[in-house]
Amino acid sequence: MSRCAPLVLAALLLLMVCTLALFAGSHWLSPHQLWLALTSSENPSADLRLLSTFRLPRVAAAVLIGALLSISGCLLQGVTRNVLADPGLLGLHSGAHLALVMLLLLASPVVAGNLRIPVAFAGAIVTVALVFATSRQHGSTSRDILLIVGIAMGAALHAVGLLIAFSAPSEVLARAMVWTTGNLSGVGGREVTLLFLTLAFVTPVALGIGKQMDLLALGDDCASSLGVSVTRVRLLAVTLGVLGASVCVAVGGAIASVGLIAPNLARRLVGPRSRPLLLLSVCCGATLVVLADTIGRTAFGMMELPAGILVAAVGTPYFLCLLVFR
Amino acid sequence: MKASDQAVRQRRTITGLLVILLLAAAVVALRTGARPSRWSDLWPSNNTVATEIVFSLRLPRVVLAGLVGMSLAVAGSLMQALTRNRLAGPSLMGLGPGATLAILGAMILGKPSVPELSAISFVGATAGGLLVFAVAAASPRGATPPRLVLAGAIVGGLLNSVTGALIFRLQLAEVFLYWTLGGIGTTTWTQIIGVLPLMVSGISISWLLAPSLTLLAAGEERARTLGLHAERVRALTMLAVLLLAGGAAAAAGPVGFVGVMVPNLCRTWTGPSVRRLLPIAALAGALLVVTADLITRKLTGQIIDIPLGVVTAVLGAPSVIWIARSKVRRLP
Repeated sequence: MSRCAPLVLAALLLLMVCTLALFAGSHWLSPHQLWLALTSSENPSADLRLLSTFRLPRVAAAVLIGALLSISGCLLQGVTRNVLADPGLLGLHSGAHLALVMLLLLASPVVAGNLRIPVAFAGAIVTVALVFATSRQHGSTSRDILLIVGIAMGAALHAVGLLIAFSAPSEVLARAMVWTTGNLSGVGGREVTLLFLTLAFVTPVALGIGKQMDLLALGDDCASSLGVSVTRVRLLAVTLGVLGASVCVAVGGAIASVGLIAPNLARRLVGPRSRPLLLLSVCCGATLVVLADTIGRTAFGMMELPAGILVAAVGTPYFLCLLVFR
Repeated sequence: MKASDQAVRQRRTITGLLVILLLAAAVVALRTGARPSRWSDLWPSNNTVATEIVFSLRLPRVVLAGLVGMSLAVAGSLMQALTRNRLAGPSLMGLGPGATLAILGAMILGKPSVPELSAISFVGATAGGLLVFAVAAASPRGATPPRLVLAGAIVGGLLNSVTGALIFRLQLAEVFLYWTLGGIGTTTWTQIIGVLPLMVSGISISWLLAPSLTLLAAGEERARTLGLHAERVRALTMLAVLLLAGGAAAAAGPVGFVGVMVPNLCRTWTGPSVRRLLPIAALAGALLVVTADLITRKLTGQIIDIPLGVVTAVLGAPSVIWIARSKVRRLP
């Protein structure tokens, strides 16, 4: 029972934050106005239209992106057995970003819009494969080397992406710069559907391999003697993690360190077992991104501050605590 | 005796080769630009427009690029010797991001002169470096090489995101975007004179300190018995590093990876002696940045120039992977 309590609380908190996010904005709504809007006889009132075309998709996208990034972080941390692993630190964001910039440059806008998710996924998975392959030495991977290689690979690919973007036409550059910071303005129903489908695919599979991931944490030898096919579970977990994070990059840009903060926060509360950890970190991650996005679009007047920058501002101090006090 | 003779000859050959390459790169850089130059334009006595372009536009830029490369490479050599860590470098340890943020803040608040900018950049580099070292030293296993890099990446990420937020918030976009990624745009001689004191004092301090640093790197106990003030040497080395990194950042913004890459490459020729390493690393650093700046001008972007920091990151990040993979991440 005590394991359920944090989960229920986190879900309630998420619900509260989402409700707040729906009301908040450059035009604040009150519950009374919402009630009037819902019950008014005239066909869709202005407030309702505002809610359904702007606020709702955006809040939904924030929730879904937070959830996907957290799952991705959980899986990658499980596979690498390193609580500091994160899609951003492993260079995944930069790989997806580079692939997207190249796509923008080579394809027409319509084609680029349709192809961006597979392309981002391809870029991300190639990067992660490269990072894992490069950090492997004498048949084993040191945790710290993995992260250093990831950081360096990320920096290099990010620089190549910028190099291409800077020599490209201005609209490609503008788009590329938006992707580097992570920004949720301009998401619509289509993007929300895509994110939702991805989450609906990733979550059950991730929960399904939860038991095997728990055994994997005991060590490869131990897990394989208990009947886990180590390579297959690993491969599946990495693929799922990369899929989740790369869809997020394709839709909202690189929102850094959600995949790091949420799972670690959740681990504090429910311990290291995969399934409760996964569910709780989904709630934490979603809350974090919704909060960051809402603050970003309300607290600074007309100018919106991208959610990615705010998450980084919250995430870094947390990460430092992790580094210092673990 | 024979072997050491050979080593001396090898070092001389490499130094000579680096000088020739640097001169060649400088000459190519002087002739490259929107307006093509003839060889005769490189002769100062001809008083033509083309000569004017070469001597008041292109030459300062080449000189500044060389100075930035030199400072960064020397700063990296010192940091690596001091921390006995092959992965140490000004940009990885938060010095570059700290200086960038400080300069950006100063530029938003007012119009600082070049010497003021140098001072602000120095203060910013100090703050960024202190933050990274404090975080890494506070972690349970101490400031090991990987911890330092991680702390540097995270603190650097935070500082960069604040810089990004400022740029975004104030819609400073294009000029600052170029600058915050590291770049040497139009350079004047006054700008060079503004940052020169930092660089010259930094390089002279490091030259004087080099023998003590070599001793210190060989082991603190032994250095103490030989009468070395370990704390004083450390403090002076940090001062030199901050002067150099601050100067480089004031001149060109954050130009990453030069300080990590160059000393590691050069050490394969010079061995652990810091005094032997410094001149060769300085030359190689200058060569690298002058060449990288030349590349940025060859690949001119459509709206803004390609930032220098982007080119050095493409060249330098693979070297970090190489160092991380190599068996000796700690210096002997």
